[in-house]
Amino acid sequence: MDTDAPALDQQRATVASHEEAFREVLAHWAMLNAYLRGIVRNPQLFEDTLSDVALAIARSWPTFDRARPFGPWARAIARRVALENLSRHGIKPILLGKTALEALGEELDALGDAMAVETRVGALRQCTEQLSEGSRQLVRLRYFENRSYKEIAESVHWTVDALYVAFNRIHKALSDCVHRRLEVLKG
Amino acid sequence: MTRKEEQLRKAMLHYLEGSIHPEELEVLNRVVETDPDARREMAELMLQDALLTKVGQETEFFELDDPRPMPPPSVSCRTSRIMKITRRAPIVEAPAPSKRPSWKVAIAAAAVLFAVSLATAVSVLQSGSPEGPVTTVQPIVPSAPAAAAPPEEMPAEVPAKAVVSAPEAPKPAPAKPKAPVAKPKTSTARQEPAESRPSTSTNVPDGFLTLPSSSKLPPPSPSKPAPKLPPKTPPKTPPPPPDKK
Repeated sequence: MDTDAPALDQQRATVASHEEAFREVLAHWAMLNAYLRGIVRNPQLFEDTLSDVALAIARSWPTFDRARPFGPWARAIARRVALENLSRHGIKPILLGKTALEALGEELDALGDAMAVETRVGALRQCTEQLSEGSRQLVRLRYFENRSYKEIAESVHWTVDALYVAFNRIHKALSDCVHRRLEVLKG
Repeated sequence: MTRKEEQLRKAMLHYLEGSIHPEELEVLNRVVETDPDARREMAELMLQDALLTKVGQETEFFELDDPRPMPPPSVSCRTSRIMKITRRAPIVEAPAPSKRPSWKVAIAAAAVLFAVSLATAVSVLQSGSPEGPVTTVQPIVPSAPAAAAPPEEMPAEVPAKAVVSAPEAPKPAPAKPKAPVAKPKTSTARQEPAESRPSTSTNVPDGFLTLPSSSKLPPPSPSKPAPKLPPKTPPKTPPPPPDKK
């Protein structure tokens, strides 16, 4: 019984550490998610990688220096895990340079905390509902059914180029709408 | 949005899709490193990409668009739907002259069958209860009221029916007296719709739906002559005895 006590304490400490790590991951979920999307494009592999990153962060949590920001540290782990996964699946990474990616990561961090992201999600949902039927159909195919541009182009009988133009406009319209809504919420 | 900006955003989409060309990637890399606005725009696009997927996964938005499988409709719903389809079909196929007759004959036959079954049901009910529906079937009698009236089956009703149908007889007499006749009904009734076919294809289905009331209710007018009932009703029969006295 006595010999088990230290092991039990250690176990409790590990659990507490993991909880803390996962809490941080959740707080930065949107940033990590968006960042990883810039590295892993395959939807299934992306989901797996996101889970792997959360686990890797939890395992590495004891080495995290709390005096430093979580974002850059987590992104470094995410980048490493993502590249490992791509390599394991024989996928050649198509990446921006390390500096550019990190700059994007910082920009993502600046877009807001978990609360701000939730507000943004709400605004985005409302804005999406305001899209035309055709645009919503494209959004559905791309983001709900995880279809590639090529597949969507085939299904709607458009050229891939025309599809990029359409999505460019959709994103712009959504972005403008979200900004307007966020401004209104800020008062 | 200028052409350059549009191309830049397109390059961003290409990058997120993983279909960016090496030269394009090089340009994008340079822009992201040096241009804060472009960097922010790219970050927002990446975030929007992630959040749209989240919104999609939540499916709330998409459920609004996609009609979810509804619970199986009740029998009546299905029936009314079939009726609607039956109604529309002739309209759609109206231009095809060869199909018209067969459609109309089929619909007319269905209408007649329906009318016959309804009449049968009414007559069956009539035997048990002396109510309005009974009078509607009576127009058959007008041809020989005097001879038919005598039957003493239902003393209280018979006079009333005879009275009601009598005034109506003149109007519907030529066409309708035949229809109600028990067995010949089917044959004569079939001829009726055949005559009405030429009108319009839509009339037929309508007729099909309303037939029970229109064809079997020649007596709807009896509502007017009804006032005449009081004078001839039983109350008057009692007086004679005093005369005899």
